[in-house]
Amino acid sequence: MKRVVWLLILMIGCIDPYMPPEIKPAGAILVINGHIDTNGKSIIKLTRSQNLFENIESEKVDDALVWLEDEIGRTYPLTEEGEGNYSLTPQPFSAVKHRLNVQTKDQKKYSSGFVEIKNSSAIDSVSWEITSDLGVAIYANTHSPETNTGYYRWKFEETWLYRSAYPSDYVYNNDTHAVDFRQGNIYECWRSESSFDVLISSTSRLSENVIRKFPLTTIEQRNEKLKLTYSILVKQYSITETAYSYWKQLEKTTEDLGTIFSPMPSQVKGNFLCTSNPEETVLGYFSMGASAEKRIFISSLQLPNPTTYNTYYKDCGLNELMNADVPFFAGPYLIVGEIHNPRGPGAIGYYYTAIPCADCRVAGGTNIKPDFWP
Amino acid sequence: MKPNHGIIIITIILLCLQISEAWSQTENQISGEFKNISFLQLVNELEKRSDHRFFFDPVSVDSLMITIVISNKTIPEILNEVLSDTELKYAITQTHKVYITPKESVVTELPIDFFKSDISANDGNRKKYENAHLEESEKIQTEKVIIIGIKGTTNKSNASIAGYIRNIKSGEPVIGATVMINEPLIGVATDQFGYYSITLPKGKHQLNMRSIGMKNTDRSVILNGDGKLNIEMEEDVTPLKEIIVESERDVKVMSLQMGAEKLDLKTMKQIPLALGEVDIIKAVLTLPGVQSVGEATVGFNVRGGATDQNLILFNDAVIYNPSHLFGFFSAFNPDVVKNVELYKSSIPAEYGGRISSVLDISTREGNKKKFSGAGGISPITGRISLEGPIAKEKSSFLIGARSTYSDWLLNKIPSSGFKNSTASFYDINLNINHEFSTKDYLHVSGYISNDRFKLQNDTSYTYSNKMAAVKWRHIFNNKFFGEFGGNYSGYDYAISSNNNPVNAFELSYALKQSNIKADFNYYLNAKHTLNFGVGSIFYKLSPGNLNSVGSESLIVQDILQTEQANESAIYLSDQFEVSSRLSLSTGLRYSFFRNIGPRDVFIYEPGSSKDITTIIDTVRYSSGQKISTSGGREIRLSARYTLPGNSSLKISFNRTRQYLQMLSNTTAIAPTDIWKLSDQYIKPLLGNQFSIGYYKNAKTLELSAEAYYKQMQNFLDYKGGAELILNHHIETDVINAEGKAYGAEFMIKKPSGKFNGWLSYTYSRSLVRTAGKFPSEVINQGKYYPSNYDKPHAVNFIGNYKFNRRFSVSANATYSTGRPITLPLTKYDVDGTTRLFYSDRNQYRIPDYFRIDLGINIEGNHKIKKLAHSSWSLSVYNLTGRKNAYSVYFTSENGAVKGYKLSIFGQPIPTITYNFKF
Repeated sequence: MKRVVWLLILMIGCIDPYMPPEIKPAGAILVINGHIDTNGKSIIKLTRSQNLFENIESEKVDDALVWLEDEIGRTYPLTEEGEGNYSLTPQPFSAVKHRLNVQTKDQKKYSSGFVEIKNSSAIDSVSWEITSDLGVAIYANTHSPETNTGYYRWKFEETWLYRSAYPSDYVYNNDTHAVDFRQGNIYECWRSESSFDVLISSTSRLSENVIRKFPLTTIEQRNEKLKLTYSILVKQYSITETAYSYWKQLEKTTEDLGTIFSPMPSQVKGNFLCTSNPEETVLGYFSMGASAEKRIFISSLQLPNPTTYNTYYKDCGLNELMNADVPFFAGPYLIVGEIHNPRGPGAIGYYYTAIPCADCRVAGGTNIKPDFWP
Repeated sequence: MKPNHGIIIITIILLCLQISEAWSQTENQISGEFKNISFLQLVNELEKRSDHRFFFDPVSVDSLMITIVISNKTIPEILNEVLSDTELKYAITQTHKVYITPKESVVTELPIDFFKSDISANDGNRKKYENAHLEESEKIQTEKVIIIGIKGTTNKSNASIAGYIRNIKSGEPVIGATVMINEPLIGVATDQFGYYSITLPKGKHQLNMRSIGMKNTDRSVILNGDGKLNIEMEEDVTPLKEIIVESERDVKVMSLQMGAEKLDLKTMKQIPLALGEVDIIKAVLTLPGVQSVGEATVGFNVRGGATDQNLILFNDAVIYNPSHLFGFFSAFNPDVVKNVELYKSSIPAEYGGRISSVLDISTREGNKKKFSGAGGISPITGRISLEGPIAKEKSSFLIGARSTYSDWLLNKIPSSGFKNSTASFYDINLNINHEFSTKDYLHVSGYISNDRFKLQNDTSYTYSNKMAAVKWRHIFNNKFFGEFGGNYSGYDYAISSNNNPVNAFELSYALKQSNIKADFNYYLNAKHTLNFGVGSIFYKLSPGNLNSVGSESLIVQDILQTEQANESAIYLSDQFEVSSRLSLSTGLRYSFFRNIGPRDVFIYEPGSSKDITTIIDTVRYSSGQKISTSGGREIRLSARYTLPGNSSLKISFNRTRQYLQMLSNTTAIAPTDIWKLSDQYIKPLLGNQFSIGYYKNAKTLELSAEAYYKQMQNFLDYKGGAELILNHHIETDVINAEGKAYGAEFMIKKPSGKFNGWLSYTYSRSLVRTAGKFPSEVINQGKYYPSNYDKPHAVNFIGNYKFNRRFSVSANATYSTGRPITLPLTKYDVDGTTRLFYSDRNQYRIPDYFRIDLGINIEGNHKIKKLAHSSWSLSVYNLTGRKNAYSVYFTSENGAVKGYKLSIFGQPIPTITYNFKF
């Protein structure tokens, strides 16, 4: 047989950003969101949907009447708190099923279906491990003594400590044109972020009502979250099978699309109906029950530390301000520390830097230490 | 006893030689009675009884059978009588030597002036003398007059000729060759065994044999009665001069079939390759009326039907997943495939079980004369095939295998999921043929394909097609033959994951079908050809088995009940030549389906939506007990009316039923799609199609225009977010829908010449509407909406230009409207995350599709005697690098909505393939 030579190819498909030219703006649809937590204060939020590529805050729906109703007609009104929020403090609920009613100021009425109170079992643990990429993967573990299928939903809130590029020990007084000592901390901040994805799991295929190592999130090794101390608060809800399928569909239609075998997207509507006009679409899902919580901390000492982290501060640097120039100091800068006199005691001037490099709050966190922080 | 027409020539010589006892001879006067003797025997007798000596080429008289009563006749008188109906001439010398020659009689005496230099009066005779020799030596094969049948045995005005057309080199049957006469215009085509039967008026005819890739050949026949004629055709491998291949020119105009397209390997090879392999399905996609949802898919849609509505037959056995590697390759090895036929409107009555089309793929038979092999190497795959005789001229084998080398392809595919993934596939074919006698023929074939891939080092998928088929063909007589076959096909897949020991599982699915059938062809007379037969299929499905893997796994075994059913059919069709202009094909098929136990069936509250909450009872059916039945008539009608100017008009009506549907809520065929049998909740699909077409041959062009309207009942659609895998009550997640499709297809084809190819335009619509009574069973408010594969405009161009015998260039251009999709209309916040609310189903479209491919074929030199023949194929797929959208999708990422367009093959893809033959 002949000598065989072959050469080739590049085969690279691609994913490009795409903006459809033709989507007609739809009318704003009422969105009712919330979970009544039987253990604590609950918030129901009323908003309206937005056009797809509009980048403004969604419209909040105020001046509505919102009330909870049980199967035998007892009602529990919610208190309007503004910004589309309506709250309810813990109540001695005695019925099994409740529904949520909303009446907007234009007299349109909306009701959810009756839902069961589902109380979550405790979270056994929130575990974590170092991934093959040296990042951190965080898991939820739980079980329930109830033998029937468990449907679970999780939310979490991550909080991490971070420091600005330079501690600013001084503050420039614009009135006296002098440099004073800084009172308070703008060097160490805490930032929080809530979960975005739908996190649900069921034990329907398992012989026991056990969830082991449900993946909540993974953090890359160089992420700033892992530089100092990281904390995650996991909230666990026990949900009904119908709620599970609602969240599953929501997940499918917004997160799990675009691959070759992806399912086709479809409309996901939730458990509300507009009772005054059945044709009108209303979105959102109402559920009820006690949640369970667990918080863990991960310190950078427990992790393999990379040489650098991807932080907000990688372009920061210091400038020098000589004593003589102090009275004329101006601009978006903060004074960091003294420049020591190389030949004797005292300072010959100050180092200064851009505000974002010294004030950690600019990066989005708060300089007030959270209560739960050790 | 009336002799059997089929074997006359061979046996009558031995059986029926009767010479009367009373005979006398006076001076070269002979008397006697001869019945059914050969010319040779007659000559022997005459030589015994006279001093005449005969000289002739035995070949020129071998088909001449003689029945004659002689009383006191001279040799010339006898010869005048015997040779009167033939083209044979005789000449007798004065020394009583008799020369028998075709057409021109030998001039027994040289013209007086033969040796003189000046040519005069007898010039004509002299020329004759020379020509007689020339013609004999050059044209002995084609000019030989073949006499078929015995004169005077029947009073009918017509007689039939039947036989096989074979490749002279390999002994393989030539499928789809036309056998025709021009006056009057009568033609037939050979079937998959190369068998033909043609009924003609008695008398002298010129039979023309035509087939793509074969040299044209003719036979002169004198038809006295029914008889056999086997013909060997020579392969047109490398024509030394440009031969205009006229094959099938008239078939499209003359045949009764509508919407039937045939592709042979030669045509498919001319289409530029995508990934270095000749791909049958991609070739079919270039035909008008055939579309697909996108690039990484093997499923195809015919005239607005779903991908599961195509009956894909591989040597008569059904193939359920015709794809390898996510659809980048089709599951058929091009080296073993002989040809592919697609029926999209008038489906012959012998086929049933799918409502949109039949894709009939037949494999080659192995070479009966010598061992040979072929193969090919491309960057991704390699293939090899071997063939040869087992018993020379009687039986042969053909074995073919194909596989991938590496996983590199996967790592090049975009869309996240495929990185760190592995994939491989193989397929193996085996064919064995044996000819027991001219009347009995056995064909055995087997096929297995296997795919495995593992995505992101976690979940692994495997799927496999298996097929085995046996077919025995028996010729009862010239006009009547039958085929008896049995086959088995199976499809299964498994998904497993063991990343998390607690959840380690294996999920498997299997479908098996066994099929027995008998088909008969009866060439009743010149006007009627009957086809009839029976068939029965037994299905057994294991719709899902979930098992735990490893000791730590907490996965509970979950086994869905098996489903079994029996589908039987009986059919009869008649091709009726009403007049020289009008032909009818009337077919009736009756199919009957029984879903049988053992099985437990849920009963739902009457009058309410099927839901787990409305289950009121469970009924247990024992093994073999009937659960549900369905069935009915399927009418297949078509008519052809020949118009002046080599054109024709055809109409057809087709009804088809389908008892097995694929459940899939992805747009493309996915390996996890499951097939579901009809039962008391899922009704069989019913399709009605009416079509009309006009066909014309104009010089070297074939023009055709067809329009159709199609209606589909009991189509399945899905509730939003339907769960199809491991669902114990699938009927609660599906919606009954109905569909309609209509369109028109126009095609200009130039089948031959240095430049050949075709251009087609298709307008087609495919719409669906849900027929549910309950709100949860209604999509888009019960209005018609475009199906996933509704692509109204499509233009296809295939062109091939042959610069010389070794070098040709081909191009393929495709345009189609983008397929429908559902887009988000509005976004909203849920717990601080943006979510999307989608439009009604399929109200928008992805951008239009356009692609140009280019291919260059370079053949090796054409020395007949050399070790191996080789060729190179260079091709560039998607020459312009247009980023055609496979899908458009929106995701919410870190709280913001982002729109993306996924394109597969988003840039030019060059490949080189080396093919060899030895």
